[in-house]
Amino acid sequence: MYRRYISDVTETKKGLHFGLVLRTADNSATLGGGYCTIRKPFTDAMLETALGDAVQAIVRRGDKAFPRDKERIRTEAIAAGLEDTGAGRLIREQARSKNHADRGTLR
Amino acid sequence: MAQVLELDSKFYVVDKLVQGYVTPLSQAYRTTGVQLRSDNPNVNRYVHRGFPLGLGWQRMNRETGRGVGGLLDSTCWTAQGPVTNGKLQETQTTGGALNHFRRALNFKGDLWGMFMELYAADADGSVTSTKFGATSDNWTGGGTIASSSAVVAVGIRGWDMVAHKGGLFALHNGASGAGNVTAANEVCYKVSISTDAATWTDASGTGFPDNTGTNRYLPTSVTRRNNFDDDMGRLLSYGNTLLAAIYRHPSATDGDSLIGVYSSTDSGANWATDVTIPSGDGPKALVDWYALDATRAPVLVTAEGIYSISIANDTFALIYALDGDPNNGRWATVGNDGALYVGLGNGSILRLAITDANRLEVMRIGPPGDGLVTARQGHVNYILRTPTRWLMVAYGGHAASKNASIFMIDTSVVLTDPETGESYMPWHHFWQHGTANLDIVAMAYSTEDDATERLHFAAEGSTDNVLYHIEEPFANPAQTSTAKYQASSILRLPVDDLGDPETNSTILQGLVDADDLSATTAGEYIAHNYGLNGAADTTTDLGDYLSGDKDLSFGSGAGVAGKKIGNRLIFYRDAGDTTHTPKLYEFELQAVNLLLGKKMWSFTVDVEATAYLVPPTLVANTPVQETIIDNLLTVATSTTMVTFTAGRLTQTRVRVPEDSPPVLNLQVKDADGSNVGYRTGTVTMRVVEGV
Repeated sequence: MYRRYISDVTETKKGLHFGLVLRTADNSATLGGGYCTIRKPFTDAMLETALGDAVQAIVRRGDKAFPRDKERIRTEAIAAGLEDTGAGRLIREQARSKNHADRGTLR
Repeated sequence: MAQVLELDSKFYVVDKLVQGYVTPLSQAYRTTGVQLRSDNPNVNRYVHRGFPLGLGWQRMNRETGRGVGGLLDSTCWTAQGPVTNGKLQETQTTGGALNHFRRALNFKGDLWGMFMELYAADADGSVTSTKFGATSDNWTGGGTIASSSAVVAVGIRGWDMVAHKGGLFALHNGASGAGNVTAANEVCYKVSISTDAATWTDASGTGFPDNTGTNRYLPTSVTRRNNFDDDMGRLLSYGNTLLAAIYRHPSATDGDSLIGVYSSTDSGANWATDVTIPSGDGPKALVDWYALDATRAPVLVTAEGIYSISIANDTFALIYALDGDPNNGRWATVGNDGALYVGLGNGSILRLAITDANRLEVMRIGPPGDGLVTARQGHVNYILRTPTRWLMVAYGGHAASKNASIFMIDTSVVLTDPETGESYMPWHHFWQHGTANLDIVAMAYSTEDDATERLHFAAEGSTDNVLYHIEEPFANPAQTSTAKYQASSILRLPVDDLGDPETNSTILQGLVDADDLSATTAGEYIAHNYGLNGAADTTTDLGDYLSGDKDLSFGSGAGVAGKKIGNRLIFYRDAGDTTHTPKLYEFELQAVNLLLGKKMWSFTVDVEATAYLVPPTLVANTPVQETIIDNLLTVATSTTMVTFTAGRLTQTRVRVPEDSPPVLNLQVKDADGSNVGYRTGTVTMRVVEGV
């Protein structure tokens, strides 16, 4: 079991960009973190699956799993054009909750 | 010629009249706080052998002991050992961009300070780390934590700095390193790290809220000034975890009046959001203490309350609610006794102790007694724990006619006010600013870099902070010959009622047991001023205690009469040598209480002569002699005072004392089997004044 912390969420036409930090279940140690990008289109179920994959990547590779240059990622994301389909709010909910339902909507 | 007197508006013939005084039965009584010594029954000796109660006592009550052993005010050293001049500050040298001091701490064998440049709209700014050098008492070296690259109107503030694992961490705004702060990132928080306090790099990794589009939590109205009481952020090294509490200021673009607490277990590479706590002002303190269940926890102090944070569960819990005063809790500190000391905006300091699971004890530790004198009133700016029993508190100085102070609070004792029952800890003077309306903004304690103990502190100046230190801050003056002292200091005793504030005492002389007094006022000496019956304690100059003159007489030897007296001793150091100070071990006042006796009269009433010469109003069917006897017995049992006149004596009010009832020597005249007759003879009386 791991604890996911999601921050700095930006939704663009390309996808969802966010910071992901992974801690042990008791929050005492950090396994790693970085900036993930989930490319569109995706359903809610696909989003949860992608998060799970991201977690496993950090478990295996720690800070090397994902890019960490937040300024570059933020700049590139803005250049891609912002979009708001609610996916950003959804992923903040999924930061710690495992109880979301697959709404089957392509985004 | 018959002797006639008036008693209770009636007249009596007496054989003789004796007048005297009723002498008081009690001895000159021993006053509370007096050390055991051979009694001198001729005078009362009011001895002050140290001042363990500290400051805050306006009057001494010699019956209850309240205030005896305390002080009204003082700028002398009174914490332990002999009373001396207050300790002398030395000014430190800063320069360049070291305009405003935030805090200092020991790191890898040196004392490092965080300094900020004075904000100016037409100049660049910086936050730097700089090292204290004992050789020249200056701050030099180190490096730039953050700065702007050119002349840009951005403000750069440092909020806190801690040592964590192998690095020094700084919480500030903008960006890490030199030349990177811009108008875009000025309004964002940043954490930086240095392993040598010279080169600083970014420690705001993944998860730290520094997005210039969504995490604009600081308004430029705050970043572009140097107010020491802007409590925007705090850091805490909590074992393996570094915590940062930052205020999302409501006036900022993305602010929401929440304090966000973030944590990192890998020295800032990755951050997690732990909790958010609402507040009308920023984080006042972030300390390593306990939750209510007595488990160790990070504790956040805000204006509204004291909260424990569970890192494991990402939750917080209220330990103790406060009233929202923005001056609550600033730099609250855990003392050596494990209690949490929290200053309040109303001037009090609370001591919180979690003695068992779900058992919180809260005690107000002062200001004690009647409170501080007006010039020293205010609230806490900074609390500093030291490796001694003394908790150092920067206090007051926030307004005109208010001078900032550093107080030493003795956390090794808890005393009780004998009249109110309130518990407190003694407060002693350590230092007072000579100029009003200038705050002391921060303090630090260190022995770096030459193993000399120093208390460092920064006070507001006209634009920049002025940094000082005091060496040997806790040294007993009797045990050091190198400590330095102020040129003059005052010791104001509480007003002394001398045992009875309602009657005059004859105050005879003052005496001192003091060492290191000089023969003349060119060297060390103690001046004595006083005021009687509510007059200022500077009203009369009694004289100077010198090596050859350790007793001073009041009234040129005749004494002075007073119901109460306020004493002020002024300590003068040697003009040329800062290490030479008078050392006072004991101050004594000698006086006698004037317990004037009441007037007393004794006389014997001749009943027959009174019936003949000055008979009372007749009572039907009652011989006049019986009426006279009844009238005298009525005086003896009267529950109110009766009039008394004899000769040219001004009429007064008297009563018959319980231990001297009338004595009647009577005969029964004209009595036979059918007639009861009447009593006559003499009645011996004693009467005394009521007051």
